[in-house]
Amino acid sequence: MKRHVFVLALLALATACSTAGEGGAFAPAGETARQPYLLTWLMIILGTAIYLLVGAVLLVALRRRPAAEEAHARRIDRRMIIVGGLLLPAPVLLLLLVANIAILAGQDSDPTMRIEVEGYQYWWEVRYPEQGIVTANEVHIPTGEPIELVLSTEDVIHSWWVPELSGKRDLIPGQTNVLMIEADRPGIYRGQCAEFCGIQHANMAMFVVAHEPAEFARWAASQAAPAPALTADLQRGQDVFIDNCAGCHAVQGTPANGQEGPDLTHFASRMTIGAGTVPNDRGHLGGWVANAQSIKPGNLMPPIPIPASGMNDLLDYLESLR
Amino acid sequence: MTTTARITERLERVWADAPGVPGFFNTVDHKRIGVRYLVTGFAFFLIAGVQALLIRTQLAVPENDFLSAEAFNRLFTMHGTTMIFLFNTPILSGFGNYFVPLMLGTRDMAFPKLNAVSYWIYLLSGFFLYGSFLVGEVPNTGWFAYAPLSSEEIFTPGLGLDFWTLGVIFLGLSTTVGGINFIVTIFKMRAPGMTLSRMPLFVWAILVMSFLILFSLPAVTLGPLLMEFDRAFGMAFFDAARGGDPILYQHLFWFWGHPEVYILFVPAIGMLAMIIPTFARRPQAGYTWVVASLVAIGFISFGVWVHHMFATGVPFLAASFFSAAGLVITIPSAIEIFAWLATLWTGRIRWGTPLLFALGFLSIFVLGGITGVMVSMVPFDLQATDSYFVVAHLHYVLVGGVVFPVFGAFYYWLPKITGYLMDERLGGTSFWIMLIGFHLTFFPMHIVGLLGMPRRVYTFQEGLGWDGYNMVQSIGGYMFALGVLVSVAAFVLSLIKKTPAGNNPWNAGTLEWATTSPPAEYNFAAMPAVTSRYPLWSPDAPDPTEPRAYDVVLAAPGEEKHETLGTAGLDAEVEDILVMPHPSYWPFLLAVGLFIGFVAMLLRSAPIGVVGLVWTVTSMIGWHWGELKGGDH
Repeated sequence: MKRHVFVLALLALATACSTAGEGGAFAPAGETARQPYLLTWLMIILGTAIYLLVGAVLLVALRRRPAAEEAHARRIDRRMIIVGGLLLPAPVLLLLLVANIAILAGQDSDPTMRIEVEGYQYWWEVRYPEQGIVTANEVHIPTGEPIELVLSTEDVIHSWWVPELSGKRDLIPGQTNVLMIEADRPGIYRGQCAEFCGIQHANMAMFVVAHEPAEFARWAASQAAPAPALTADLQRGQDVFIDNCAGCHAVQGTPANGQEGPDLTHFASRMTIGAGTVPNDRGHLGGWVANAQSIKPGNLMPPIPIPASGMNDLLDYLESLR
Repeated sequence: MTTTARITERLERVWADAPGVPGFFNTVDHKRIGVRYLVTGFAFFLIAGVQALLIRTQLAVPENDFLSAEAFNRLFTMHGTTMIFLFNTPILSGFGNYFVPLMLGTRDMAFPKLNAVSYWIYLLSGFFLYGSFLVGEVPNTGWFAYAPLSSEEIFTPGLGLDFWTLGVIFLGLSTTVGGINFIVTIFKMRAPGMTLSRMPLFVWAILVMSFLILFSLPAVTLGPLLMEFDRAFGMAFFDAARGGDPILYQHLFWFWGHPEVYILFVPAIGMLAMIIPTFARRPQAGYTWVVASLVAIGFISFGVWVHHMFATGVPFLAASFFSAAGLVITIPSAIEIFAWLATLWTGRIRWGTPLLFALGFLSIFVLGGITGVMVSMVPFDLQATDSYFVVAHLHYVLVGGVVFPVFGAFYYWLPKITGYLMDERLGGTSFWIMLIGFHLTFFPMHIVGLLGMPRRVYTFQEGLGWDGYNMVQSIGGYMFALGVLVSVAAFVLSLIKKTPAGNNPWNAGTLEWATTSPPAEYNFAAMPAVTSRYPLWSPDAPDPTEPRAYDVVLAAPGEEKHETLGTAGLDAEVEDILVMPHPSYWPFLLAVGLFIGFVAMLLRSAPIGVVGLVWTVTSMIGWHWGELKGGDH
């Protein structure tokens, strides 16, 4: 029976190893995630060795014939406790302690860009003060550059976590935290809020989109531009928007200037609606506008009674906000 | 009539509880109170277990709609709150209550009425917390209820969080009183000759636990109290916009929260240090090492709390310090583990279900200790914290470090409590199902956590690579539950089959096995004296059941009172005869008065508050009336 458990444990371990590279913290995409990753494997290997060693000692202990003489047994007792309890863990712990301090002390690098991220129940506002961009739930960065995220919130505690790029950092009312991230290669890195922040904590994802620097510059230029000029059809949609949505949402270059919800100036360029809850396509968008509560119950956007005649115009307008 | 028979007859008359309902409400017998703790604690274990199964059902498949977001959030909050506050701590108090006086060879706890009130408060605070289900406003922000999410009514309206804060404060009274009671009992009521270095390791563990409770519990009273001030009176302790600090709450909570892990784990160490020597048929190896480690764990556990908060942005120097403390506490834990390995190595093993659960502890807890070292490392912790990796880690520590030892303790000590043996085959079956179910549930959580799955999400999207792991975890969860049910069946069967256990079914060496199973109300007819750590294993030791001079004094004619020996000093020399309180309704009434007071705070109702206050004060006066009159102790 004990052997079965042993085999089971080894199987579980093999599964663990085979998932390396599948994603998350096992697939670091930049310097800021690589050190924790290497440390993780160092500790998995050391930990497995210790676990197997303890298991082996236990198996022998259960099978061996004990020493007859009490004084001899006491000597064995003392030796096992000193070796196993002190001499074995001490160097391992010392090694880890040094690694810990070395990694912590070596984490200063100068960022090439600062991006502000503000947490809300249940979405992320993303601001590029230097470029004058305001967007939501997506942080676009150039590859190969250390980026500093400046993290804040005014409602409750949230936690920023995109495991392929770095560990977590909490967003805490009354204090501003910073976090360095860096991506080596272009890609879309998903994460989600890691500190329980209320009923829709589960649907508060964020995406870091890493571009080649030239591509990033193009993205930044297009995002910094105000909303484009309108055709007559789109003007109707904008009127519906201003009547129904502008209390909470802003579109730069229009009278819509609400501050409660995400800035929608370039809404159509984003991948998802509701911080990663559903894909950003016309069907989901219509459902979201009509009753966001049925998609993400408890989020702060109330159902909006858009007149049936205006819905198509509104969706056309929103889809034009590239 | 022989001396022994005369003494026994008199003891029965003096110590017997009133039969029926009066005896139920006024008993101060530590054994009845201990059993109540065990029954109530186990009931809460089953309730929280059902909540866990609902959680696992929801998470079995992605985008499941078995539970709503709100229902899920309530369930994980109450699962954690119940397991930590209403199961783990109390069930250990239950074993402590029942067995510490027996192991010390005395007749009751030092303050039997306080002992009774501590149970009644525990029970009523459980009712109080679960009252939230009756009114449909259940705590829903997790078992550590961070500010400002929990502290401000704009984020969490309704009574739910008020149930939580007040319930935690109310229960804290019970835990604190219990801790004081254990400390005094252990220092003043050891059997003659039981020096500190002869004290059973379980008693040592309860002693360390009690000190941890005394020093850490004020923090978990203060945190929720300030939170309730914020909620009820609009104060701003944790409101950053008005100069408060939400991080202060985290410091208060974890200043208790981390020692709490050891409040739970230390008594479990004590249980294992009783079970393993019995089944290795030799004394615990390195007794002094084990005691020193227990004490060291107690001290170091107060230096670790910030490792729950690395992601809040702790400065480099502080992070290094708390990280180092987290690593250092591994040493005493490793000493405990190797002390048991050495005991098994040099002992002659006898197999039994309690030993199986002890070995299950090793198979789980060692891994939990290793992941504990991992999360002490700041760079790794920032990936692991608040993810399923931490869920895995804390369950390896708490299920491995507490639930398995507690099940081992049930199989070990229930024959003493009920007088009946448990079925060994069912015990083994239950153990293997629980062990495999446990690893299936929690091992994959390490992986899925590092793959990016945060804890406390009511659902997750398909295609993130988390699906398979979650399905396996849910299957494992049901398997674990099945294993628990088999143990429940084994217990029920033992009550039906009634195979007598005898005084000492395991051939163990400590005093609780010197008396009958179940023990008489007065525990020992003759007060035992000891000259070694394992009095029942010493061939030359005095027969503990032989009456001695002080037994005759205790049985002298005159007023018939609950009497036991008071001992003093490191050597436990007989000092005086303690006159103990008799059964009393006041503990129950006092707890009810406090309950009314807490309901008044919950409803913010002055009239109910006045009733609660008057009731409580009246109960306190009644409690001490005998002494005020100069009569009863």
